[in-house]
Amino acid sequence: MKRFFFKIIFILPVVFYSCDVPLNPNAPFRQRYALTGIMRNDASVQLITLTKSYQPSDGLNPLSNTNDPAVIGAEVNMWYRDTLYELRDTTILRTDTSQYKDSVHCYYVNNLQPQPGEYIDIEAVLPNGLLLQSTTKLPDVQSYGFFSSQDDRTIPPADGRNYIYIGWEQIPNILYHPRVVITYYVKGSTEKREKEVPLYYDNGNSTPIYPAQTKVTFFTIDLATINRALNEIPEGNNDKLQYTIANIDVQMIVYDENLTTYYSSIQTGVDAFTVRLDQPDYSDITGGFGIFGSFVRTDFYIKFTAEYLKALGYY
Amino acid sequence: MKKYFFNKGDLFSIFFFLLSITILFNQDIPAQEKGSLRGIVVDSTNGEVLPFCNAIIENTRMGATTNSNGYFLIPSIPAKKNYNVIVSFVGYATKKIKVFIVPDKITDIEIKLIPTSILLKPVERVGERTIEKNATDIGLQRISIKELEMLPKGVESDVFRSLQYIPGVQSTGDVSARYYVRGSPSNENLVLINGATIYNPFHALGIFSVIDPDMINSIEFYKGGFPAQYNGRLSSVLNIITKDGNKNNFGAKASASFLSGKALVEGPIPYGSFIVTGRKSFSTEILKKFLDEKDVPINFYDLSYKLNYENPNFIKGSKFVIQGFSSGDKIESTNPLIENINWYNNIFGVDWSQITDSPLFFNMALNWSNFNGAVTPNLSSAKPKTNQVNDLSLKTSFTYIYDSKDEMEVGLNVQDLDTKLLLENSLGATSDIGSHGTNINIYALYKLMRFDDFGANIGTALDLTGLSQAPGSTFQFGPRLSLTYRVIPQIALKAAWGIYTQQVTTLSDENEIISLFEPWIITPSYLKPSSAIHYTIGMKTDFTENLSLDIQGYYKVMQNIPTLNDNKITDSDPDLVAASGESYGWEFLLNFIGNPFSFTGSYSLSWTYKDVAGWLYYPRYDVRNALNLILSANLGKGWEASAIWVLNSGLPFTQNMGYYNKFYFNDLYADWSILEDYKPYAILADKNLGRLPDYHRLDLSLSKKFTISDFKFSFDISIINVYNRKNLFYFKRDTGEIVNMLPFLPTATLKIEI
Repeated sequence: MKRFFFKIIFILPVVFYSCDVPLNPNAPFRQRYALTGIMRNDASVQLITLTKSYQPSDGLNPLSNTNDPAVIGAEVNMWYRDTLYELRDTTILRTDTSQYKDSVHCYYVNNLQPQPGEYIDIEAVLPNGLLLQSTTKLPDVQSYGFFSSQDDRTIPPADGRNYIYIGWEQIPNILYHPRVVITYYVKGSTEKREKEVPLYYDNGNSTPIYPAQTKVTFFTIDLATINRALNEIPEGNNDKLQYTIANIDVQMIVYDENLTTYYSSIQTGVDAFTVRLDQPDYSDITGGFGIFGSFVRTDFYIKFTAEYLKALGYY
Repeated sequence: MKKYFFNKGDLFSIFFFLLSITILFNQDIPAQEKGSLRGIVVDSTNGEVLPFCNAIIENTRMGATTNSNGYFLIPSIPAKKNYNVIVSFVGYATKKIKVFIVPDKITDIEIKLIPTSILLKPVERVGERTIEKNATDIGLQRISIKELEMLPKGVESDVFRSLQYIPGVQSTGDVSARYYVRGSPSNENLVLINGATIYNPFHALGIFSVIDPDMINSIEFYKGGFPAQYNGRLSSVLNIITKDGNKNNFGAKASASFLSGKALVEGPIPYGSFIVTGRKSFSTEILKKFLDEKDVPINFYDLSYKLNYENPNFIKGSKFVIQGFSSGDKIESTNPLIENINWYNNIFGVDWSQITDSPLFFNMALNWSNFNGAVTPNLSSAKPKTNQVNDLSLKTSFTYIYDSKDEMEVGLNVQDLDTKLLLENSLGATSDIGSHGTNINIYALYKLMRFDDFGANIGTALDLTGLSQAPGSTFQFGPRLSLTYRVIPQIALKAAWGIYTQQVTTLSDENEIISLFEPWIITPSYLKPSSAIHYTIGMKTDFTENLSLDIQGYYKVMQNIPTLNDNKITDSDPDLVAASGESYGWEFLLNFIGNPFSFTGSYSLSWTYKDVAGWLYYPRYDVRNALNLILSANLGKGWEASAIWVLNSGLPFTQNMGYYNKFYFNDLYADWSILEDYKPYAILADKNLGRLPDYHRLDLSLSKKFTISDFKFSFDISIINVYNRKNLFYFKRDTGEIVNMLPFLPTATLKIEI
């Protein structure tokens, strides 16, 4: 009996050793299409891309596909303020050629600088006759008197606080992405340069934490953080007099509702150890995948007092 | 699938009819010249009570089985006579005691069973040869510690992992000790330590349970059809009773595996005993095998203590217990970009058990159970996610045993539950979506045991108040019925039916196969409390003393199962939506207990469906065929060996219909990011219509026990996945990389006992 036991446990491994079954993760392929376009108020050229779905060349790894999935030859139209804009296709040199060697195919329109609160409709008729449609409304930031600051738009604040406060009125269901930079010039140059200012420093005061997309309608930055950014401008050059500090530029990108939802959907929100297999996809494209959204960018300036900069050695 | 066999009105009518008939039939046998025998059975070496052992009166058909407190009661024995009481328990020498039964009184005895040398006896199987032929135990599985120790260890012995060899219990991978019972999600399993609920009983990303086997006295596992005293979950109950500690001598044990070190200290105190066990991880190198060679800096501990006091001079027949349990897990990476994750369980409770001069048992327990979990982002302006659960429960029960052997139990459970779940909402602010509720639950059950060949357990639970604020949370009935009919001495037919409700849930994403943050909340008020109806039938055949076959079929319908809302887009969309489900199947369990070989074979054939907003799919834990073969051998001279072969049909997964290039962005300040910031994104086919390849694995274990001086040693070598089967865990859609489950993995454990 004992021999039987040992026979069994020795035979089983031999029988089953490495009898692995290959996995086929693919259901029957169906060709699908994606349209991606983000309209912006800070440019007069608007771009969209059209791509088609594909199967991994090796059956598993999508990065093994090296054929550019761009859709060429589509008829793409946009409507803005009752005017039809026909998009033309073009190619732009690709910076990352690790997967696709060809230039990037895209569709563009010149002389369209949409304004806040306006609608843009898009229709793309693909070469096979399939229609992709969507609409975006640029965030109506003007009607909200967008920035309001408790400060008198100077650094340091007149009331003696050691931080600056930036707040704005909320538009429901949209995301804001603020960015704070110090603009400056190197003497003898007319090129405007930027030094980004973090919200604060973390990890033992060593890692800058920059503003992220948020629905919160205010933030504060300590003067100490601003000072640190100012002091980092010379980058080892101790002669601060070679630099002319202009002001603080508080930049704000306001996403429309489509882009807000889309951005939320691409944030996995999981920690580094969680393994998620499937993730629901969001798209506002009728007839396909992708995103057609918009944003509005505005700027708000805060000036430094001469005394303040002088104290830091810039005058 | 949403149609029940009966509507609720019919079910209540049937239930109350049966209850009325049962009570009417309970006419106590005249007590004149009759008495009762009550006994407590303990281990002679350490005084630990021995649950579920058999006591019979020689040359009569009278007998009983000890309960989880080690007590048995045999009523209505003709008095003024001497009897021989035979008490037996597998792994112990059978003992015969002479008792004189006094009329109209309960005669109390204590039986100390002497353990037979485990070196010479076959593997212990508890409850296989129960004296109660009419026991209404369909769906109940008892697991002995010896069985647990015999299984090959995936680094450590583990209670939850051993459950996965029971037919009807599924797992979704080697990596997780999480278990799924008869087609229900894992958050519908109730885990009790000495009656206290433990909310997150997992160490190390769910690889092990927090329950150290060294602290366990007995394990009862209901995989369905559980009786009326268990409430609050839809699927299963795991009831773990911990040891009291050695009442005779002080003792200590220490053991070490590749993962953790453990210690146990126990000993007597005046009128009682104490036990303290602790475990601490010291190396997580071996966990890389579980986690795709990922370095996860896990640090965990657990600590259990219990102190009991039985002073007849204080209150005769009383037993007071103070118990505590604590566990903690920390994942703190040296990479400052990775979150810190930690979770803690704490339990503290007091328990008063009382026997009286009448056949009445009384028990009152006050337990506090606490869970804290947090994910703390580093180097980010994101706020931590935290979950806190505070559960204060008072449980009271009275059990009366009639002369007819019938039993009546009534109880009152009061649970005050406070949950906090702090999440950063879409406005960037921290919001608390937890809530507070109090559940007052009463239950009554009647065990009809008077007939030798027929037994019934009929009862109901009633929620007078609900934890949830949702309409319909109060006055919820949970009627239960379990029947056993022994057709011939070898064959018993069994059936069970019951309605179950649950008013707590986790925010679990069923798309995640490894998940670290599964916060508990009271079911939100916008969802109705979830409910399930279990229907179970079965047949237990005892071919011989050593060979039995248990066949069970079940059908379960579930309503209002809280499920994470995949379509949540705006802030106002609910986090959870209600789903329904259905599962059914057949389970076969063949047991052979011999010397030196024992064998257990189990097979289950099951189907599980889930319906979310009209979409019907197989949940990830739907395993069509599951076969477990366990062969164990006592080779003598302290050598034991076992082998387990597991074969499961493939788990469901969602197939790809292709990929498209999806635009990912984080910073729209950069010009022209729209041209190149794309990554492949899988276009998913219908949910879970694909199946992974079949899973199979062979594990072996060899152990040796020996004594040197006053030290007892136990050395164990286990090999997991002996033939290195590449069982597929998942594939990464973005890279196509295939991640397999555990490879060939040898482990060893050394235990020293004083």
